[in-house]
Amino acid sequence: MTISTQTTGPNIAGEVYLADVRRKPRRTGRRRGPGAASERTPLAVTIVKWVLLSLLALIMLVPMYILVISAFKPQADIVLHPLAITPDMFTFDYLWNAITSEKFNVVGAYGITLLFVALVNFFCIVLSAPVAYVIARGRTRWHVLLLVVFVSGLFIPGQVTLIPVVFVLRVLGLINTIPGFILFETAATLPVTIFLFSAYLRTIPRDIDEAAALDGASRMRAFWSCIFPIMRPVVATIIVLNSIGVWNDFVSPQIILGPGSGIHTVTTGVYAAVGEYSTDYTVLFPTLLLAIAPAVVFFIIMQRHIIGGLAAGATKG
Amino acid sequence: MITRRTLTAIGAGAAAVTLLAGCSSSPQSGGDSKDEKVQLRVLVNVTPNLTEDWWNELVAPFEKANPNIDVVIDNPGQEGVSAAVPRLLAAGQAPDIVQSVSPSTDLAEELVDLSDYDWAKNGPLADQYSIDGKYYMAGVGVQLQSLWFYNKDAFEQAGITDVPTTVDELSDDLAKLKDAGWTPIQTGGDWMSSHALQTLALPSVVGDNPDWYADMDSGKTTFSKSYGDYTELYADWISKGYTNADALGVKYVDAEQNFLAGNAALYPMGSWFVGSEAKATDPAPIGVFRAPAVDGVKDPAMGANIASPYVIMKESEHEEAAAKLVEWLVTDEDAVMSQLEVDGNYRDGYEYDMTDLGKELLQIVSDTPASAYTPTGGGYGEKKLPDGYSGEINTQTQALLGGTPADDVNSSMDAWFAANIQ
Amino acid sequence: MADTVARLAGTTSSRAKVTPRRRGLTSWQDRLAGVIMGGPALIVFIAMFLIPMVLAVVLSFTDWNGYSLHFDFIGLDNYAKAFKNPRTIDAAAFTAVIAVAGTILCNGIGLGVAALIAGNGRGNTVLRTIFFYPYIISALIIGFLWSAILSPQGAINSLLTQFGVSPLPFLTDVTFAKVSVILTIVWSHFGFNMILYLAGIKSVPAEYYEAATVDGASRWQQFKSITVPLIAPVVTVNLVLTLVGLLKAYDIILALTDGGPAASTQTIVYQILRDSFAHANLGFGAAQSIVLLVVTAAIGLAVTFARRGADQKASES
Repeated sequence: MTISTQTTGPNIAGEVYLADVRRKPRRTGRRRGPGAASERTPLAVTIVKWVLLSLLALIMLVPMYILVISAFKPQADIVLHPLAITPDMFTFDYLWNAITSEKFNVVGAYGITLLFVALVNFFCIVLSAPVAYVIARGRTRWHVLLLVVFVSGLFIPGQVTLIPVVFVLRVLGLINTIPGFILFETAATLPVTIFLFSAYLRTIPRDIDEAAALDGASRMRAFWSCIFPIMRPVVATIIVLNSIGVWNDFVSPQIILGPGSGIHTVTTGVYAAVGEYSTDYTVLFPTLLLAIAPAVVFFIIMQRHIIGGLAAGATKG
Repeated sequence: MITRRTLTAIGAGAAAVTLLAGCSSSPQSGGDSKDEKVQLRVLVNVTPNLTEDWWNELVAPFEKANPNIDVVIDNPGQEGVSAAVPRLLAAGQAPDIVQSVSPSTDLAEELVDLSDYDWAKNGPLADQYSIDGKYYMAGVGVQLQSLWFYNKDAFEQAGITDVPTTVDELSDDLAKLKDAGWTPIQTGGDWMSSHALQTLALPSVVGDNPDWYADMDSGKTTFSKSYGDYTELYADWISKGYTNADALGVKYVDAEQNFLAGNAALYPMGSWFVGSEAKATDPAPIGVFRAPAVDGVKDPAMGANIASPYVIMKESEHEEAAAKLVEWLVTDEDAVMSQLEVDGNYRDGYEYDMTDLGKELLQIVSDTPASAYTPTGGGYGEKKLPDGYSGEINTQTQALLGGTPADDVNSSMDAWFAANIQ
Repeated sequence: MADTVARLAGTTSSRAKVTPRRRGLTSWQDRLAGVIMGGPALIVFIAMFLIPMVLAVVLSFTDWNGYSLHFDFIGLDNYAKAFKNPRTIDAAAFTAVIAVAGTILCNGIGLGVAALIAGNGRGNTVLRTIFFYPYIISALIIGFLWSAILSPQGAINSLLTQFGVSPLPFLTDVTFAKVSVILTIVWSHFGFNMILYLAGIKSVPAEYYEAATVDGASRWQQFKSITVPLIAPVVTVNLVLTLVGLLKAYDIILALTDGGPAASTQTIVYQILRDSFAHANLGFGAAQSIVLLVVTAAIGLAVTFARRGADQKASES
């Protein structure tokens, strides 16, 4: 099943996804995937491979290690002994300062950002799923045009729209407010979401539509009660993508929820607390640690689901 | 697969944290004007001298005397006040009062005209900052900028007995300092890069042509013609190693600490350094001399800016309260003294306890006629260069520090002016 | 509609007897449902994408400073300035370098690593997490972290001086700074590419590898002739996403170098935001935004078209 009139790049992601979903039930002997020939690889190659991988892993982990230990050290020790941590150096003072800092209320910022993530995910799915369904089921040129319109949003850099959006929000009276921010962020998630949803929905046989309709339910209710539950894998993907995106967004909250709102997300809070003092490591490292610790811990615990969701179910092996 | 139970658990967790957030954070309700409580937002320049704590302490007596007015200090963070103001205006989030921006013809449309207020019309440097005869700002005092602070020990060791009075003497002194093993000039990599160049050049450039600002703005002269020699001289100094080698990587805070610790001989900086020196616990012995001009310039110019100018934004919903606060800030004796002292500013009729360095500087202030005063950076009032000049000259000075030839910098500045003059 | 009837006729369920409900769009109830389902998303999209885009285009022909009550239409002056302004040109050039070099490195490393850890062992799962985690951390925080590590008193230079090597100007020399920016971006981003490649690699049916092993092909030959061609769609997606994404680099640079030294690491988005707000030159910023948009779309489409051949071959296999 090809979406023949599509000419934009991301369409291919749908193809991969579709291909994956289609192939899964037919796959046999998956356990003997690409790694199957490992018994035949010479030892030397295996050693080189693991050395390379270990080196790379070290490069990935050492910065995080430095971040964690430096949050507990005074400035002099951070500069002179970057990799070491001994009981003499260890101090909670700077971390405590960061926690109680007036400039950046960490717990508050976490709560607010979580709220934003939840709201954006909710509105994104509520808005995108129905329209993706309409697009997926539609057969006219208008439906294709609709898809193209939404997907074109993928190519529009967020910062291009952000500046005029400020004025649109001003006109709507929503600048500097949470609803205004949610509106913008939700809109930003629509292109990817609608694209992935519509691609996925095309693989769902229309029999199910029929079954739902036969119960006499309106099309809307039929969709939400019968079709939507089947969309779980792609919804998971979208939730992961959008959550990461909203959580880490800096420019949008910085400009839309400026100083007058008194609201700091995790990213704008870090910028406010660290920005001018980036050479004062007793401020920088504790603040960064506080900002990322819960997210990283959450990721490590949920990494299977998160990465799995992203890789479209292919890594569940 | 994420089960429904996992989802519920996550949802409950998120709800819990959100509730917690609601309790622990208290988002401002953005200046709702209830009749009783008025909230004034003041956007200020936060520096090592003007800390957020200092600002809050400064306005505390006013808040006590006016219990219905709550003053909130806004810190613009890394971008600084002058970059934050247009952005806030565009987003409709302008504060009530802004400190440290000077009125310009563009900005004047957004500012409350203060001409009817005595304290604005007759304040320090009021005339120089006026636009079309109207007064838009009120300041606290005067800060001088064309100054070289020097380490007395360094001069002694290098055999320099008298402070230089011409640029040539200064160049010779730099050579002597280098030979004596000192880092001659302490400069840095953020906004302060261009300060050294301006301290070198302005006394001569404007001393030679008092209408330099107007001439540059109208295109009557070019950067290469008027300023070019000094770019070349500075580039020469850099290549001879007269500036600290790590300049580009050093921030203002650290550069200042380095000089206070006695690790460099000369530090071109404005008079607010006196405030930092007063606060330092064990500073090196430091003196100051006026930035010299080249031979042949009769009246070297002295960079002089208003200290702590305050403007009131038209968008403010509490103009009266804002005017009250600004008036207090520039006339209340204790408030004025505090602002003068913390930043080493000067004002006729206001004497405060000074360190020896402060007294040396006071002598320079007394010896400098007001006719020698010139704006620095992008200028103010009617003597103004196109917007963005400060940033551009700073970027170009950093290029010099990175080894770019002076000719390239001069042509870049010419190109910039050509592109930006209205 | 005929499609549906045919489909229904082909089902073996007992529901075949029931009269199919017309799904044609001529029914006004269906139409209304379609509008209700698709409407909200479309409205949000128009408000937050299309209208701002139009606004941006209009603004680009003015000299508005963002707050004044009057402005003038100055025709194409802003665009002319954009193409002549040395700052814009430098920023655009550097952005292009980031996009191209970053894409090559991210995809090269991502694909290579994915190929090495495509197996299902526990070690591979751990490595997967290690390589991917930086992607979930906000770019701003990554920028601050690396600015601390690469600074003159940072961890790396501190260790270098301890070993008697003179410190390197990672962030203070123009060339070094540019390289540092690119490498930091790659560090934080390649995990994402790796995940997509992993999904692609794992979706190649094992039978192909088994057949090739029987034929005596080495692992490298298998990789070259089976894996690479078959994951062509994933490669395209990765290329487009990375290119388009890196063109928008901003947060990481704000934190890492703030555009310095000497404005050498400014990207086009940095330039746009600064011109639009800090320099109160909204019209000029808008013009640059439109140029960025056109370039982004052009690159996305170009890459997709260029890859069509490879993608077709893959989907036909």
